Amino acid sequence: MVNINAQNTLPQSGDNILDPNADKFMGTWKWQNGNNSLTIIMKKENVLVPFPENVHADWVIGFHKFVNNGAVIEDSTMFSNANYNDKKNSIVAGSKNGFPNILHGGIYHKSKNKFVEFEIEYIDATHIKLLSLKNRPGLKVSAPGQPPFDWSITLPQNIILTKQ
Amino acid sequence: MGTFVIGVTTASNTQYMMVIDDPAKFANFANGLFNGNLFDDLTLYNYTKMYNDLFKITPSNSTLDNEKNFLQYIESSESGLKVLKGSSDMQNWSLIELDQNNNIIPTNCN
Repeated sequence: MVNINAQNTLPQSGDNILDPNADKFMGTWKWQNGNNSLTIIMKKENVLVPFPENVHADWVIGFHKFVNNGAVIEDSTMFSNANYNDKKNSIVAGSKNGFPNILHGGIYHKSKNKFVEFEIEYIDATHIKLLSLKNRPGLKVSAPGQPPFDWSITLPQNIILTKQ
Repeated sequence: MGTFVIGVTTASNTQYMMVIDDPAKFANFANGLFNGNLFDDLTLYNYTKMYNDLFKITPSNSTLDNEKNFLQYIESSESGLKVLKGSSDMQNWSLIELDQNNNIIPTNCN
């Protein structure tokens, strides 16, 4: 077993890279403001990672529901019983190296057809703060017939979510 | 080496180009990132998590560590890609690879 934040070496065959700092972020969390809300459900799995061969790692997967003006804009929470291999999750995350109280990762902004990157800060056992959402760096490529990349982000950010 | 090249200059005053060294390997790697004709965004983000959290390629690292980690990343993902590093005036380019001791070995392309 290898703690994800305690090692400097890269993953080697046979490693199991653990992420205990992520545990405090697990569960169902909700922000609500009038008719707007964001619910996120996060759970941790120990998975066989895509590469290198025979490496396992803790992996945070999650699901979210975004309601704007009473209308459900995005919702993957019906899949919250799914696991990593089902590929139904809309969130991929893990604790940030060197920052045990920050969870970082990506959330699928379905209405914008893209993953955006987030940072969530642990406040206490019943509160977390979604600090920021950002577009991912790098080239944007649109296949022929597909709409161009949409740079806008409508998911709420700089919000405090409460444990449900 | 293949004919497709993609380049980047960084805020650390370094410049790189990436080339397809093994087209069959690259095709297999790329196929894994598609679901039919569309990018599989979730798989792509899983690869991003590998990049950030397991291979630890981050702006806070030294250039050397990021180069080593990135070379490990493209090797262990069986991407079929190789990396060239340019001099500051971009007149000289070297293929950079890792040896068995994880040291970077440059091979001049000129």
